[in-house]
Amino acid sequence: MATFLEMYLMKLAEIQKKHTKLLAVAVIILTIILGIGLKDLTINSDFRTEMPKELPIFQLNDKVSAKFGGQDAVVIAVQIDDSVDSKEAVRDIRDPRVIQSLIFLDREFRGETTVTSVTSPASFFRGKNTYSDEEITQTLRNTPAADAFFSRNYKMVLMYVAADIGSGEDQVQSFNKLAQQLIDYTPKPPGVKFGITGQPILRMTIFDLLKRDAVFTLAVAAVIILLLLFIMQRSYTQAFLIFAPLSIGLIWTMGTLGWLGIPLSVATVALSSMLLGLGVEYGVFVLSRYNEERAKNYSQLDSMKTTVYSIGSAVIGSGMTTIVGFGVLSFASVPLMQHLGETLAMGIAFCLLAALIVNPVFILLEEDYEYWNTHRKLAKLEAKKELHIQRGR
Amino acid sequence: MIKELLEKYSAFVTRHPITVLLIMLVVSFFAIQMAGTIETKKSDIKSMLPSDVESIGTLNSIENEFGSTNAVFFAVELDPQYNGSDETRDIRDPAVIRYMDELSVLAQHTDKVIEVSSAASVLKTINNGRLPQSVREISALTDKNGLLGSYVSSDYTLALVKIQTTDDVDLKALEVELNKIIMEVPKPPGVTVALGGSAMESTVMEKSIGPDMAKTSLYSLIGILIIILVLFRSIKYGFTPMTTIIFGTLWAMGYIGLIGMGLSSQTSGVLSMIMGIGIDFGIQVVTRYRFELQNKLVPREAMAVTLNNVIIPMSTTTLAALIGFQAMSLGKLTFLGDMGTMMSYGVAASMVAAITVVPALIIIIDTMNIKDTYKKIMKI
Repeated sequence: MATFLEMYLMKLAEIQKKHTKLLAVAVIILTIILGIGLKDLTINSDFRTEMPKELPIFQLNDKVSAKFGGQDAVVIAVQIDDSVDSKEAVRDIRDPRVIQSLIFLDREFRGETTVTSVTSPASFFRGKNTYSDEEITQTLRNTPAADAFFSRNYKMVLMYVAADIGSGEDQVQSFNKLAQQLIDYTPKPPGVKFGITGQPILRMTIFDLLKRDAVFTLAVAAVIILLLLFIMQRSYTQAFLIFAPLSIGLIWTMGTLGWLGIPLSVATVALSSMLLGLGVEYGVFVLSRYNEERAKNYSQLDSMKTTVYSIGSAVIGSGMTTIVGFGVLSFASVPLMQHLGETLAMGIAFCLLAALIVNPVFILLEEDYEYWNTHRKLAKLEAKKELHIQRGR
Repeated sequence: MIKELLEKYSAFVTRHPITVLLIMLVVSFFAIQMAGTIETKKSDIKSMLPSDVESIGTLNSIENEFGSTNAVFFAVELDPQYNGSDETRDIRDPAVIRYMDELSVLAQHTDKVIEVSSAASVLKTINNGRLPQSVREISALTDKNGLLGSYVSSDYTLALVKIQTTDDVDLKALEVELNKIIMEVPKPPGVTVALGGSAMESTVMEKSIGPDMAKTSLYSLIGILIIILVLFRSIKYGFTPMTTIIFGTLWAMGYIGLIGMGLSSQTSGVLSMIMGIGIDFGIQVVTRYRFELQNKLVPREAMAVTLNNVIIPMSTTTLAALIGFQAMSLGKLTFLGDMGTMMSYGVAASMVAAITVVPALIIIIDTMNIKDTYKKIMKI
């Protein structure tokens, strides 16, 4: 198999030398096509999709969530704000003014079609439209069940809002907006602050953080790796010759995820930084070997043949083993690991392809350009020299 | 200067392969001891979320005020087996409420349990400490205020007995105790009971770490071996690069044990990933060495040239990989931060193994006359 492989790698090097520009155009077209998929790349902030849902414990919890609205439950925490220094400020969360706020919020939430249930101390005040402060104090005193909503030191009270939101990020976002608006409209006594949390809120938070992290980790890894390449290669051009095909491999990977409708998740958010870190290896080996051969004054074709043939099989071997190392994670029981392994395996395959096909093409193009540019400059200088000779001093 | 250092190093390795191998074996022996101390740990998703974000801060405040949010519950569900039988058809049936009350009482006496609440406890508090005797009475007591909404599903098929625990609860021990309670208390006909809750999910996942790790690393090892054997078409050169990942993973695991980093479900696949990445270094060394042998160099010279030429590119790629892995920890969400750190150790260890163990082994194998050595040993 290896002879077969080496033979084809030699042929590949010949093609790369013969049709450098054509291959470069093909690479650009492929990158554009796959790159279009980037606009369809989505982010999945739902933790549950990364859990082994076939296990009985997950099935039971999902059933409980479905029946009790746990997954879509928003928790509103009303707590004493100790920083408020006012005589009017609430000092005990059972203060009737706080309960009046909760009653208001309870009515507002129950008026929304998506809300399935609202529970809080306000649940005990649903018979009448208005309650006096005395009635509120009396009712709470006579209802021990209401104690479950208050913290032991009476600094916090909770309201649970269950809703049928659905799984789409847009629906979650609009529900969160609605909940926040209702809280904002609610009249609040001085000395208390309202906080909101729960699954839908956390999902949106995670969604925002995932977006930020995906860009941030990619940017950090890209900048540092590029700097490293500048330092190690001691040349901007050489560093870019390694980095550019790697970036193309990354675009292919992310674009393919977009085309296939595979979203980025908590498992794959750092995919780009990992791929940059791992994929750079192939380009480094290809370029250093090519430079080594060229330093011996071998021709472009011979150097490229030796590079692609000798490094190609090693790089394919190491790429394949990395793909296997990641690919076997498909056998893990946790989907988080499965998704990470599968996407990384695909990413490595693309980086490998980029190193074998794109890297030599870019190296040859750069050399050709360098050659052409040097000769152009020389010709100019030559012409200038001629002129100087003609004119004399 | 770097070139001189590299030449000195490659000269040392090629001249004293047995010394190098012995040093590495001593390190490995220590690593084996340390790797044995690695423990599994539960995946605490909450701790991986940034606390400076408002919604997460609110969640933490709730936990501070109300105690642990470790959610554990008994889920009591209707499961009638026969049509027309006298099995329970409404989860608010007084027999089921009594059953939940018994579960609650026993659970309350379990170690590290702070509070147990259920439909039974709610009904008792609003009915002068007495359990109602009919579904109608229960409806009359709770229909207006919706108090049972948190404990009984709206279709009356499922009820929860919620158990609140302390933060430091040992979930594995709690699971055993609560399952004992389920076994001990006789159930009314037509209902099933199971232990649930998000805290229990991590316990179940923790159990899968060991088998997952064993399975994925074995598959990875087999897959890699097949690829290398096909690539090198040689048993000797096929197995030699495998020492990179054998020693590399061993050292990495030893270090993880030494610094007390536990394995979680997020990091269970780390071994197979280290193997997949780490083998690259071994492949690069062996490929280059074989290439130099073809140039009519003797093994020691071929290995010296190999080391002189591969160490710099290998260092670059190792540094790049470490940057990529460490970048994973730089985000606000650090789900895969531990995995990145472990992979950094693994890749660095594999690189070291590839420039120490692999060349030493190759030189020993290619220069030593095994038959003569065997005879000498037998004489001794």
